[in-house]
Amino acid sequence: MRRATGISPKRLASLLVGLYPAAWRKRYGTEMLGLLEDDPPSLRGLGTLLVGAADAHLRPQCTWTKSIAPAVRARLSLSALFCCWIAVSMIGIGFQKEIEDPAFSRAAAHHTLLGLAHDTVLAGALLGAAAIAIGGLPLLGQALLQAFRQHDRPLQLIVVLPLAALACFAALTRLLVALAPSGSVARSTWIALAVLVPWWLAGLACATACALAPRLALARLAPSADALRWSSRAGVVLAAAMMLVTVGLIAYVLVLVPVEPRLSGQSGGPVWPSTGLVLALGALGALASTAIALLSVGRSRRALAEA
Amino acid sequence: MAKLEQMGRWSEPGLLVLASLAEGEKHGYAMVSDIEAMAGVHLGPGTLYGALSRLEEQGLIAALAAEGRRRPYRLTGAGARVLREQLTTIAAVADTGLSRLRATPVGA
Repeated sequence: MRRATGISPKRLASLLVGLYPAAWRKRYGTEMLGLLEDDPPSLRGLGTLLVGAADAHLRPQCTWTKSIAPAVRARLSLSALFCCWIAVSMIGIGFQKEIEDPAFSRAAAHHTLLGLAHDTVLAGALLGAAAIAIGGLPLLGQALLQAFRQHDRPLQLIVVLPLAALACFAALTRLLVALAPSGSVARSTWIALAVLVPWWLAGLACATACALAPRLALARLAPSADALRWSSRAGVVLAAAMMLVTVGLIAYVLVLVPVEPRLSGQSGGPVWPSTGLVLALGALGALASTAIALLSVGRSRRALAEA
Repeated sequence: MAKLEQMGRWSEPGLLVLASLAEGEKHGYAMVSDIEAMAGVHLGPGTLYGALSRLEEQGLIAALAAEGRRRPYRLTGAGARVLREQLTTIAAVADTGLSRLRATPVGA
């Protein structure tokens, strides 16, 4: 069996093993990859890997978790939490972009619940930004000091990576806006695909760089348990902020679809689904990210209690 | 017996793994092949390792030294006791069910 993407089941299975927690991979990863070499999995077998990875994440207190030091587990969990925030941030930006039409503002002013849902998303975003600042700035300060005072070249690259990614994404956005004739994206499927696909891929790459940089930096910095505890407390607030955003998004979709069917049914272009569907998918993504964030914050707290 | 029941949806693959290891130590692929031949069930990698990690956690099986990428497992004394209890219960249920079917054939 070989998928249209060119990824063999064995390769896909190896990628799926990467979804298991790091401590689990350290204990069982090698032998499981050995099994996948001997017995390449079927589609159902690949499904069992997905279920197994989710199950391993939901069982945080097992003997295999001890195979990784508590401080390292705390760092990994905080990195995962930050990745979830990046995902929710992207969904939040998409939400704002999707409802930027003044008709949505008028609808929010007219329907109290819709306005309340929108305000809840904004409140969650602000709370999350504050939690990131409080929990992340001390670590960023430590990273900057180590990178530039101690001339830590790899850390300098890690610190610069998200800034460079954001700059490249902004430049590409400007270029595409300049190249695409006004209104053409909404009229032509081909122009929409030629403009939007590279833009989406660039956005994904940018978000990946922003999510990866703190993970790499934390591994290199090895911050003290006290600094991690501080960040973990801020992580609790961040998870609460993500819950707010998620609740707001779900409420917005649930109110918008019945009260404003015309707005929820409209589409932003030939390759773009309806606003209601886009917002519903965003709400689902935010729900999944928040669930993982809650698991991660709980795991970081438990790891730090052991440290 | 209670130990396997605590494993929820993993109790059935757990029982198959214990039954496979009753023959002697085996690594993952040998277990999958043996279970397929014994019970006609092909355990996926996620299911096998979900069961293995729980059985090891409960002390019913023990990991041996790795042989390259393969790591064999063996049944522990506690694992053998649990397996015996489980199979005795299953055999009693099977005997009772079969004798009842013989006495009152259903759908005949």
